[in-house]
Amino acid sequence: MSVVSAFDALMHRMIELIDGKLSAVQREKLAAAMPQIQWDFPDVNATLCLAASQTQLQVAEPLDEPLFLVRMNHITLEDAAFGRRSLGASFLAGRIHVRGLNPLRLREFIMLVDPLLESYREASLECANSPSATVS
Amino acid sequence: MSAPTAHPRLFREKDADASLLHGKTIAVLGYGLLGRPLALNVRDTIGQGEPASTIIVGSDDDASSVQARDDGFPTDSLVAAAQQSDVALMLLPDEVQADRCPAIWAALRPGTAVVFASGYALAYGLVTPPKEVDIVLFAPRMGGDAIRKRFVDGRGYMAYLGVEQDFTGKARELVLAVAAVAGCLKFGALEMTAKQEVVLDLFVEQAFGPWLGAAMLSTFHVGVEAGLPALGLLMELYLSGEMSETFAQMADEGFLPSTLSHGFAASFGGMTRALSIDREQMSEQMRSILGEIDSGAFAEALQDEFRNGYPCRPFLNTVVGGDDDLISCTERDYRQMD
Repeated sequence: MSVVSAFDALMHRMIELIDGKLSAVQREKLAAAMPQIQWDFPDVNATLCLAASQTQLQVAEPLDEPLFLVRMNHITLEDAAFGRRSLGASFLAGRIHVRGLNPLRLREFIMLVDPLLESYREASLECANSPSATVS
Repeated sequence: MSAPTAHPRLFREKDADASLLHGKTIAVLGYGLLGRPLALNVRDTIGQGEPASTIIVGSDDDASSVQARDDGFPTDSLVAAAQQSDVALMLLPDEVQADRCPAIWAALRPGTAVVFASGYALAYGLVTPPKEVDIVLFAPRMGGDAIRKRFVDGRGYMAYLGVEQDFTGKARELVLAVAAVAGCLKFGALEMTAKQEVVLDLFVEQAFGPWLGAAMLSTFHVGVEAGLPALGLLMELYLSGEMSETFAQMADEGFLPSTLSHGFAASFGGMTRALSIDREQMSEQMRSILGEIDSGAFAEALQDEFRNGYPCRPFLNTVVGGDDDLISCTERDYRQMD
């Protein structure tokens, strides 16, 4: 499996797992506030676009001008998911940039944080070839 | 060149008659960050003498009531304190007021003056006061500790004040008296409406504050990455007090003159770097923030946060309350140095 496809597989699985952790009400709120959230992972040169509808979360085609964009290195996500460095510390250090976030959408964004970290952790452990070793 | 709009009126001590409050019962509704210093200031000014005023603290929060009693104030519930008052200082948190005010309104006697320390609930229509009371604004522009310290030092502090509803016909005199006994007018107070006050406050808090904070964080981390000493960076940014002195100098001498007084190298480097910052992008973001504040969209989000039990608070506390970041570690090391 190539480096990029290993990363894609991990992210797809992570999205599936997040979807399973959100209630119907949470999914509905997310779809209303942030129907698409895009992640840029510069260290692995990858982009992930998450589309939220009332029924499910799924991977979508990346947008040229996403309204809601999170830019962070893959290693920052992995460090947070495995408790090596908190998201707060990474944010303060300028390792996480969130475009489009404002107080009107904060609740929906926060709602996604714990499921995201848990799902990343679970997906990583599931993958035979851990991306922490191969995607860097 | 003159300013594009007329300046609000600036009130000083000579404009106020503090004796209007002598012998009155003043209820301080809420004994938190702002309530405590204001209560102490008012008591120190008119709590003694002849005729002394009575200052009573109204709070439904056990810890605040204990603190108020420890400070020597009589305490009662919010509603009971409001019932006894000639003047009620509304010092509950912004987002809580809509919930608590209806019971307070029902307890007030006609002619009571209610003094809001923030225009938020009034400006966004979250409270509907009864017609038979005065509704005024006295909004200090500093944190509680600074308000108390400046009062004790005899310096005064900045506030905004205004009249939103004048039932007695003496609302302006009343709010000026409150500003005087709270120790503000030694510095001065600008006249504002509740809407102006809250939009100004939230706008600077949400537009300027984040840029300042982000600039400090980036300066620190870029410097550390390049091998500059972390402690030295924090000293330059705020630990030494140099930055505080710079802001004080701006207040004393003016924004531009204070810049020039840092020497040629500072203006040669600083001003040329400032020219390369994308101010249009910055301004665009600020206009968007201002729009959300002015329209009430931000207030709606804050009220929603309150109604749902502050779901964002743990996350925000995690971000700003952590201690594993390099700045916190450096500060800790510094405070342990001999």
